[in-house]
Amino acid sequence: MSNMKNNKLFAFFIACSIFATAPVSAETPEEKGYNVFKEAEDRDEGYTDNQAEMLMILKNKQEATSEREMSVKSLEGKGDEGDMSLMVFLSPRDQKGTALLTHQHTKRDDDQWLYLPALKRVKKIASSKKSGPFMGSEFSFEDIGGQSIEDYTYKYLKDETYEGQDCFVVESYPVDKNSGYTRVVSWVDKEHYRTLKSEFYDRKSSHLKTLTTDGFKQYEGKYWRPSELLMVNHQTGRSTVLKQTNIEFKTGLSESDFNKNSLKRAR
Amino acid sequence: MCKLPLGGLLVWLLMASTNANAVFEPFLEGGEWTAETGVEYRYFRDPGEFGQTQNALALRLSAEYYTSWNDNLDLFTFRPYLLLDHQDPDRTHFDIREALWIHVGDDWELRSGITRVFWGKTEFINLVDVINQEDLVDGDDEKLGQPMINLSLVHDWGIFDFYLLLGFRERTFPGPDGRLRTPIPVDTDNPEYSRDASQSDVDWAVRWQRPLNDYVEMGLSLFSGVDREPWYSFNFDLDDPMLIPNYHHKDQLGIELEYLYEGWAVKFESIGVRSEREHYWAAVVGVEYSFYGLFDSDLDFTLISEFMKDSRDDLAPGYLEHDIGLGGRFTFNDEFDTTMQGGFLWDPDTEEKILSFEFERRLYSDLKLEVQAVTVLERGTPQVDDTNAEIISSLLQSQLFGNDSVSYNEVVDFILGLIEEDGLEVLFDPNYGLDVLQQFQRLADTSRKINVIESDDYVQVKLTYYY
Repeated sequence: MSNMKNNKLFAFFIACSIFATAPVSAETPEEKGYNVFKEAEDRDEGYTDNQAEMLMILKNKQEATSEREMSVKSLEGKGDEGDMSLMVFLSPRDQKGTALLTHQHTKRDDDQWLYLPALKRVKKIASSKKSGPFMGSEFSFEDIGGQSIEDYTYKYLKDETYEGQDCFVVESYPVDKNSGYTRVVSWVDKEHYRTLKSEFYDRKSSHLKTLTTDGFKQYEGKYWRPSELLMVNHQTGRSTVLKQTNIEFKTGLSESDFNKNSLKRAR
Repeated sequence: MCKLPLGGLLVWLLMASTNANAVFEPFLEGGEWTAETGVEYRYFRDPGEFGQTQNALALRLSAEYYTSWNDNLDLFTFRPYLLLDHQDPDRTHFDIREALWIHVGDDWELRSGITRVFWGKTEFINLVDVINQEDLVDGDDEKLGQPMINLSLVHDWGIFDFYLLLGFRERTFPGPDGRLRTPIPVDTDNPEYSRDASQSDVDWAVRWQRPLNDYVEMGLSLFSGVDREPWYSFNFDLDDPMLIPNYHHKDQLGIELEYLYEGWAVKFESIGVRSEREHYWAAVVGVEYSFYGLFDSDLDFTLISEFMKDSRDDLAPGYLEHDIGLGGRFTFNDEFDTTMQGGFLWDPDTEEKILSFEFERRLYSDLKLEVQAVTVLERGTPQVDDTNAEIISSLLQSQLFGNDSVSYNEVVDFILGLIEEDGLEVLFDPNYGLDVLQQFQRLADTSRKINVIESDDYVQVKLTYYY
């Protein structure tokens, strides 16, 4: 009897000493991968809200084929709640006023509603639509909708230099079976934890798309945002450039800017 | 039912504002105009039953002015709309689709002016959608602007909308020269109102919408006002036969439910209606399944099935009284926003069948193409008799003219009047207004609704340019 008690105590001591002496070295590749993105998320905490203008340029192999202009607002989620975002189209002009409202959730599927101004109709979008292309671009709904850290599991692969910057290379695996990807490999810079490049692998595990980010600027002395994102589809040769301008933080948005009423009057 | 002299109220409001300029200044400052022009061509497979042409050309002009002030807490939109039709002067019309001022508060907003409102979840028919009058001559899903004051409250329990509807808009109908019309044209200049309804009615409506859980959204609505859908009476003029739209008051309770899970959608709409004329209910239930990224492409395909039922059965004014609707929608998700959809409506009782097809694609950045085709596969044969005597006898037995109804007495008076004037032989003289009475009988055959519209299969091509 006393033996068993001692064994338990022994195990307890071992556990304590591991936590006390070697928290980092015992980090598995999975934990390290998660921690890279957790750190990136923590560094972005407190952004409160932001607004930006966006220009999307759709290209085939040779030339630009069409453009879309959008304006985007987002609000940081409080506590357990995910972020909210509202995106409204200014062009092409037949789509003017078409708007997309997203309520992100950490433990369940996000809610998304689309407003069609010609019919004055708000339609809820099924969450299984997430892998489809967004407005004919190379970005999918899941690329655009924003992600929370719980949407993936992670694995740290290696360190590597990308365009002169020391990076962690981390592989992420989507939790949702409706995702269009089996894995995403990301290059995250060690200094500021910004994702500089991501490679997306499709359901057949072949390399589908590559996203590169450029023109990072720091806002409010803290938050880094790229001014340009380039998504290249290797299977079709098509690509989409997404340019962000007039990025503003802490503009005083509140939850009442992200409901069905505000969706209908978004401009 | 309260009635207000609306014109007087408006004038009083204007007078009351000591400086009208100061009131309207924000509406006119710093705004932005956009516009669109649409050319629509319709080709009908057959010549019109009443000599109308097979080709019809129409022009749509619309503009929009938008401005906001007070840090986007006040918004104003003005949207005039003009439809010019070369074939049918009654289709040519001007409407203010929107002249709306929205004031945004913390958890509320007040919308005042003219606008259009959509309620509902289903695809083939939206029973609960009652706020706006249908712009029938314009096309599917088109609505006339409705003057209103709408207070919307956002609460933890959902969104509550309160509507005061200022005045009633009459439905538009094709004229004698137009296609897609009833065999006896509708006299839009001389509508009739029952005692409890008028054009200057101030009606009201309430709607409450909220999610019930992660998958189900719900809406409950109440409406008390002039029924947007008229009944028809005959003017009993054999030289200039016309149908008279009759408007009356109704109270309606509506419910909407939508359940979304993975690719599945289950939708339900139902109404219970009480009016002086009748009590009835109607419902539509729909099941949809969407295949996203069909065959590893960007193509989405949605299969739609809906079942419609109206407790009035044959006596319902619309033709979706006991029908099955099947549809398929392809969304290409390409940079031209191409979509294609087909719909099939089938009445298993009468074997009426309608097939429709729609295609939409942006051609250049500012130009959009829409193609629509509609064909009636099976319209059922209306029961039409060969002599006036037979027609009159069948009319008097028709369900439409129940023994105590006003229409019944009108039919009786009309026939007695004819006999008194021209003698008993009118009942057997084939030249004596037989064709009019036959058309009237055709309309009175309530079981076959589609034969009311003449053989009007058509293809429509619409090009819209956006400025």
